[in-house]
Amino acid sequence: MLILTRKVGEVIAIGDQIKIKVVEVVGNKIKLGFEAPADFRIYREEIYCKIKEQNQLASSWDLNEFRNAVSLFNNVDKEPRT
Amino acid sequence: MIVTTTRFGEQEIEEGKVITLSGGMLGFSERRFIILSPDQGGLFNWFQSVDNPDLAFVVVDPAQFVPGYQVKLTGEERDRLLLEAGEEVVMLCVVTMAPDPRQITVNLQGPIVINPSRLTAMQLVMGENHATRHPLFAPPEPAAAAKKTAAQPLLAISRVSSLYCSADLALACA
Repeated sequence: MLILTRKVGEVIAIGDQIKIKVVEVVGNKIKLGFEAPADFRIYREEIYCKIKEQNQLASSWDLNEFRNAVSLFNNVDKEPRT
Repeated sequence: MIVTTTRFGEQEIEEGKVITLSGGMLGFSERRFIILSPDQGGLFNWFQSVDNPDLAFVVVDPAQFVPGYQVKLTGEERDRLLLEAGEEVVMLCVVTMAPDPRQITVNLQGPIVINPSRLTAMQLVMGENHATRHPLFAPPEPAAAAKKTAAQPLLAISRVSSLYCSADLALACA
């Protein structure tokens, strides 16, 4: 991993299209500003992890839950739920 | 081809309906999926792995539940999907089921985007402004302020019958 030291207001460039500026440091929090073409997705890593976790949760379900959801959505309960 | 599934038994599927998911579902290694559309399933579909019988997600067309939901694809994403300029995509969001249907949520932050003409797809990671657990049956929230960016033209999945595999499964009987 490349490690660089920067002061507030200083910038790191990644290629000629992406710039990351240290905006503010308060305690153990660092505020960063990003300049990149609109075409780049920039997000906190936790978002990626949250989607992974949610996929994991979403992958375990059974047909009864599915039937209940369908009947709630259709607002019609034809069969007693098991 | 026969696709073996844990929940729906064996399904006879046309090869031409298999979708290749570039990068897989985040956290899963499976790449080939089909969309199963159960009889009486309403707006719900299943995104079933071809190679792992256990792996299936309940998916919905977000437009049916979250008016105004839209995405903009990056150039890299368009390339990965082999998407031509102006081509429409199909969007699906993953539903997290719950024993109490009112607790069911839909993931708006990681939508699956499909190029129906090439059968390529990927799960996106959207920015900061979307929920991973948006209540599916909640009253609609005030429409989010429309972004000025040109959103990707969307094709409602209900109009892309070529993607569906109808599941031979009667939902009413347990």
